[in-house]
Amino acid sequence: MSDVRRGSRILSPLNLPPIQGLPNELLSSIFAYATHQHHDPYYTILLPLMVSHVCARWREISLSTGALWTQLILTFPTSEGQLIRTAEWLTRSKAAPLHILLDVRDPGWEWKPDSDESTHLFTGVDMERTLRLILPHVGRWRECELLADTWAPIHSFLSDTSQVESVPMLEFVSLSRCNAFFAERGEVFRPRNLAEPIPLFGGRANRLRDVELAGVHVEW
Amino acid sequence: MAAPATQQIKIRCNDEKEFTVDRDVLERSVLIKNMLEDVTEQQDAPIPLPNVSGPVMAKVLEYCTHHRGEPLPSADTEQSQDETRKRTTDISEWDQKFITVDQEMLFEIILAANYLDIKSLLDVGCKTVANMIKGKTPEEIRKLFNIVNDFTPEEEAQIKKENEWAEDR
Repeated sequence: MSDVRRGSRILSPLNLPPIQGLPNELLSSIFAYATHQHHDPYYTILLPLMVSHVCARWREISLSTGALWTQLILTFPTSEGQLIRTAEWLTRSKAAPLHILLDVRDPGWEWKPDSDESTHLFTGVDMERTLRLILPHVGRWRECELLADTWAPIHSFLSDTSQVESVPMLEFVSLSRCNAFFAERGEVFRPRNLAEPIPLFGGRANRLRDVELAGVHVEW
Repeated sequence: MAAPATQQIKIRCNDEKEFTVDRDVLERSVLIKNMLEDVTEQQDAPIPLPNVSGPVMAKVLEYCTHHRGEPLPSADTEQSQDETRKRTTDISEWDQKFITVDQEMLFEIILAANYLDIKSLLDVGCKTVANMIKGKTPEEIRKLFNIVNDFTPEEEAQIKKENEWAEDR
């Protein structure tokens, strides 16, 4: 590497620490290893951020490595920071396949057998809004996990994603309605007005290999 | 019946250090394997390796000798090309012991593995550094690798803003 001149400091190659002798592509590979070794999506969000805050060279390398910025996480309540981060990650990930986690469960929501799902604070319309941000990139979705307390957001998800033209990279989908009451004896599907089986991604997810459905109805 | 004699190959490093090594050991390096395949006649002159020093080559040969006979990783499969897939950074016990060296040697081994095209050794090196990075703050990473924080005030301001993203779970 030639002399690195930043501000008033000049670093000669002789003064460089050994790790800075690695070429960019190897550092990029190391960062990708570190990012994608973990199954905790929050770790996968955090690692590239930490690496990009070490020094100017690492920042440049990490920002130009799309493979580091592929984990998207949107939770309830969706903060402005989450939306900005997601938009930024969508740009930084360039053309890399995306891993999406939508956790719209409300920790304060208490479901009882006679609960009205429509009182949940995350609605189908909220899901439509969320999807507006990530659906334009559906061609890069590789893994998608949705966790919800109620049916409405899942219905919106199924409905909106059934309209997509193609999902060439999608391999894994997990949709969970995270209350077990739907499986109670004598329980019927609720809400009735949304009892509509929808084909998963309009039946166009040709590379889909793993599907996990809990309390979710799709046309199969 | 006696086993057929293994062909021995001579190599010369950038510090003039020479090694005579069994061909199958050296062929862990795709670079050298290709070189040897291109040579039809037996050559006595050592193969020059201008990018590797003697001490580093000695370590590389230790690795290649231990792993001799193992199948070489298939070239450029989709899986190995895709850096976004979940990958384990587990390293076998022997490899872990082998790669427990000082930082200077660790990065020299990675550079040599890259130059000699020994993918499995390159993976061990990269995984080791990845494991060193994981779970650390930027400051801890700087300290570990002796890296200078050379951000401009503008970059520092941006980084401060980005730190809020880490807190948005």
